[in-house]
Amino acid sequence: MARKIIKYLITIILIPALIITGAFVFPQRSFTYISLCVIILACVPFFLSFEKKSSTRRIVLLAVMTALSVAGRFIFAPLPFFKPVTAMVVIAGMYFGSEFGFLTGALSAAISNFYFGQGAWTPFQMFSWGIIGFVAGILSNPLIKSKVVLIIYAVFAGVAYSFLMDIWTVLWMDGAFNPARFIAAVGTAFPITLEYIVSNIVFLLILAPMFGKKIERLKTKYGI
Amino acid sequence: MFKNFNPIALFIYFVYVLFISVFSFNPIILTAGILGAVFYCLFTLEKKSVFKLFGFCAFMFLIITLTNPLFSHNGRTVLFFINDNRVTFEALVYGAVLGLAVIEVLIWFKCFSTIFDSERIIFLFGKISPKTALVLSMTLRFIPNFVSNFKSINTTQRLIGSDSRIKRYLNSFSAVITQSLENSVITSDSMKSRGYGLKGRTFYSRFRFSTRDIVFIIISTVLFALSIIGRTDFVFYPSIDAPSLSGFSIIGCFSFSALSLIPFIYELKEGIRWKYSISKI
Repeated sequence: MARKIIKYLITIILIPALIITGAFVFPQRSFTYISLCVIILACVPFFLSFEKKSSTRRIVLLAVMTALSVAGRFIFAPLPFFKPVTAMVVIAGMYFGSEFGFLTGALSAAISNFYFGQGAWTPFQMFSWGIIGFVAGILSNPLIKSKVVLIIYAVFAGVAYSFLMDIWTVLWMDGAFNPARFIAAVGTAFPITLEYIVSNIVFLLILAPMFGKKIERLKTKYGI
Repeated sequence: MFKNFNPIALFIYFVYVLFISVFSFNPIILTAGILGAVFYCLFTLEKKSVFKLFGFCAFMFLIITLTNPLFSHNGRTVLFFINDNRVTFEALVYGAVLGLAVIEVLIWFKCFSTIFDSERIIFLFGKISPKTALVLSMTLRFIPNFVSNFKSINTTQRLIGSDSRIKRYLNSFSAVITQSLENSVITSDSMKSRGYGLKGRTFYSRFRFSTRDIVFIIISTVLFALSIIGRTDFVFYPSIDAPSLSGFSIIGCFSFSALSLIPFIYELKEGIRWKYSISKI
């Protein structure tokens, strides 16, 4: 009972209080502050529910999927246009559910930043990849059945990731949404966005069906 | 060394400093923060990586300063026109301050990354969320594993002489996926049979919480509170307006400078002590 009360107190009082005081203390940077708060708080429920109700199998599987997506980044580093992280996150969402997809995405971002450098962008990156995996989990049936949907989602994931990160860049720099800077950011990021889209399509078309087979095999072999 | 404080204390310290650095818009505070981080970097990092970092920061600073007038045309003092768009002095100065803010966060995060290795991060998460911490530590172990598995499979495939490069890479990666997925089932069964997840199990950690951590937390909390109370922002548009120097704002600037200098001062103190103890032997 006491735990429940504390939980409600946190959600009803602490979170809004945190945001409002921050907005008053940092009048010029309120957008940056609020967006960072919201992004971090949005990730919390996923980790809480993972903490509560996950079996040993799920824990190890999550570690393996996250490690595969980060290791893929190193493995395919010699080949240009091959960046499998987003594809692996989408696959995790497709085959293991939306919550699992979110966690794979968020952890992949956090862990690959151990190697490529943490920064104020880490929470935003976690959220962006997480939400891509989450939506893939919601759309899992059409994604598995139809190749067209898969390609559309691959393009969407590439564009969405770039846009979300550009929004963060603009919010961080201006402390408010500046459309001119946003357009410039999208423009300069265009070649990278294209690279994301191409590698998403390639990897999803090849890896996703392959993954389905592997999971079927696991299910029959170990009787999960 | 500064990084040998308890990770919880260190984390609180970094939250304080970054909280103020990310959201402040005051060149005095930003400069103080940059100096604190730079001194610490000079003390602890290798010369080569320090120069690389500073080079990158200088580049970022210039880019941001020079491009800001293109994005915002506010401000009273017009310098010149480009394509009928005003380029103003205020926007240039705003860009410079923005550049300071960006590089300050960059350098502080560099310090954060050098101090918080995976062991400290896992310790930190283990307190709040032990399962996430387990996932983190397993993942960090799996990554080099998978990469080396991939390399051996890929080399073998190449020596057999199969397929084009891209196809070989994909096939080898697929083999790694199969291998690791099957191993994951075995690993989790093995963990379960050894009693993972049963009640009453404790975790080993090599970090202890001592008096100096408490003192460190108290000092940084007081300095943080003072710098929040005394903080002021500069106004840039329509014209630059520096806040008048009151007692409060002076205290704010001083306490933030002190806060950001703590790592450097601590390293300096330990360095002096070390030198002194050598000369006595």
